[in-house]
Amino acid sequence: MSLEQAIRLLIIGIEVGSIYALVALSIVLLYRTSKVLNFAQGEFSLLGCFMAFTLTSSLGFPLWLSFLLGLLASALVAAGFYAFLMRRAKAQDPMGLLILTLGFGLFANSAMSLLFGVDNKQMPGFVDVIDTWTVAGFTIAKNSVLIAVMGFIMMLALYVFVQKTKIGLAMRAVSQNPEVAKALGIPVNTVLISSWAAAAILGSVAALLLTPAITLNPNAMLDPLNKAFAAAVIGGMTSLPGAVLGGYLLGIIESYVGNFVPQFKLALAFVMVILVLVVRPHGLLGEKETRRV
Amino acid sequence: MASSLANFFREPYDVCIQNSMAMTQHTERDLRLIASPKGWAVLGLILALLLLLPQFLPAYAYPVALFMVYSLVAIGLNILVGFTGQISLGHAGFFALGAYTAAKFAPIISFPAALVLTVLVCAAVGFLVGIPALKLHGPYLAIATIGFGLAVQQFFANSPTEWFGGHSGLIVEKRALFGELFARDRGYYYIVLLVTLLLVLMAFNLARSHVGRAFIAIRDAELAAQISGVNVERLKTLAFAISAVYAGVGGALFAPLLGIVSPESFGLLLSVQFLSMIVIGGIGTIVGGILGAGLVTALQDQLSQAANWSGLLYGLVVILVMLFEAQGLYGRWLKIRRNWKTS
Repeated sequence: MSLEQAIRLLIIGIEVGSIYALVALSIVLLYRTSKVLNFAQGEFSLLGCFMAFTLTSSLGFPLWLSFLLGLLASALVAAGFYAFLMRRAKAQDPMGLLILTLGFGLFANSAMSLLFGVDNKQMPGFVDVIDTWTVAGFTIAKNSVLIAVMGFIMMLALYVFVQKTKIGLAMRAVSQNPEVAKALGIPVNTVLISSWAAAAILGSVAALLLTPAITLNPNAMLDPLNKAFAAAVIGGMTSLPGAVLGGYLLGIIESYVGNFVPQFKLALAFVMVILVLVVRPHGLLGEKETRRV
Repeated sequence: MASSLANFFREPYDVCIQNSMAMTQHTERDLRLIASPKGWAVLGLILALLLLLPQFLPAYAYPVALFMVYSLVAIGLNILVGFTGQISLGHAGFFALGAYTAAKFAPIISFPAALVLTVLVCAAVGFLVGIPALKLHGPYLAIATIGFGLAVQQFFANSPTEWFGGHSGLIVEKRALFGELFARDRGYYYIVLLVTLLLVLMAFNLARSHVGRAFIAIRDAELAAQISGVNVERLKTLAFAISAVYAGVGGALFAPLLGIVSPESFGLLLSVQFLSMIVIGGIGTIVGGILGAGLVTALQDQLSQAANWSGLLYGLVVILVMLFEAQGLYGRWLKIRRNWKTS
């Protein structure tokens, strides 16, 4: 492999890795606060995409406005899902809630197929997917740079949100011990609703960045979501930095390995999961969850 | 029919409710498979209906056979998820393993022998998957099992074409396998019926044996079960193996029924579908798995022209079940019956 090719693969790895990291962050954020594995994350993200697509292509809204409205829509749907369905479910154990998200995912996926059709739609983006820059002999796709930079900005924003704001502090408190948090006067429900909204926004940004490159259809997020689950587990389900690490690690390794054996890309993610779990059952940066009698 | 089924097959869940009602019944009686002469009558009726169905309603032979195949998988998944409390989102993998084993080896070693081979292969693979699963809990297990399901699918899709046909899959020649008589849907139905009845009976027996009760003990309080002398590790891997065998046999029966096995049909969506069957029917009961399989198959059969509508509908059903009745249809029925009895 020449140096040029190695660098090209690294850039692809970082680009794909940012998408995985963003979606993995949204999964870990919810797992930390609500102890739920959200299988409807792909649908939440795509809802925003379809909204943005419809606004900009049928109603002629400017791109930035329709993207913002798309994000808002997906945050609202996720918050509503938590407030009206998750909180009222009869089965409040993790498995019951997981199944509820699966059911909602199935429902939302079919609903989107019925409403928008299953054909591949060309999602508009801020840069043309085929546009490139040439820097010192290297050709870099503008879209790759956009994805990597936007991914980084979102991660930074999440860091500030969780570590430096009041609601972020409340979120951390709830994820440590919801009972004590409630006793201390933290509005647990508001915190949980906002964490669902924040997770949906993270996922939607990933989807809005990705769909211009891979076209938009109701199953567009299925593969990235699978990989993001793998990334979240590799990094540790309880650790936000772990999700970022897992995402980039998976993206970069996948880019190099996929160059040689493209048909085993998906299997590779889960081979990595199994290897990591055998050595560290709670992921690279995850904490051991103690089980009490 | 479903309601009478529930009445006469005794299950641990059932027994618990009875006990909680403080009905002084003998344990021996509670654990009997069929409780009363009425139970035998209902069982006879169901058997007669199932036996005569292809004669009077030949059009239903295919969907009912499919229902039986799915109920096997649902029963197996319920043994793992509902009884032992380990989640699996990779049962399409075991299902595919069974389907491919039957499709590939039945022409060489005959169908019954291929069925035995399926049992062996799936038990071994289920056992192997069960060992790492011991260490994993909750989300980690869910994601690792997704990985298993996808790995099986990828293996069959990407292995050399002369092994398993690659992406286009394998064609199952029913005529060559079963002869003229059993090759048609109406004839093959009886083969499916025979195997299903056998495995359903075994599942009921398992549920009321000490192994079945140990599974439930592990689900409800793993540490307490361990302290009481339940070998948790052995039984958890055993649950995986048994569950894999049910899914695998389901797959092996499915292959000739459909006539073709191809990797696309065994994706994550199928695993989700299996899980939704037991959720809708009732987690942790055998009748629940059968009811759920029946409902999902009926939905699919009625809406086969509009796949999106069926997805919409049973996504909705899963949501409603989780919202209002976590024990599924069968749990709802048990509660209704209890209310009737006490009033």
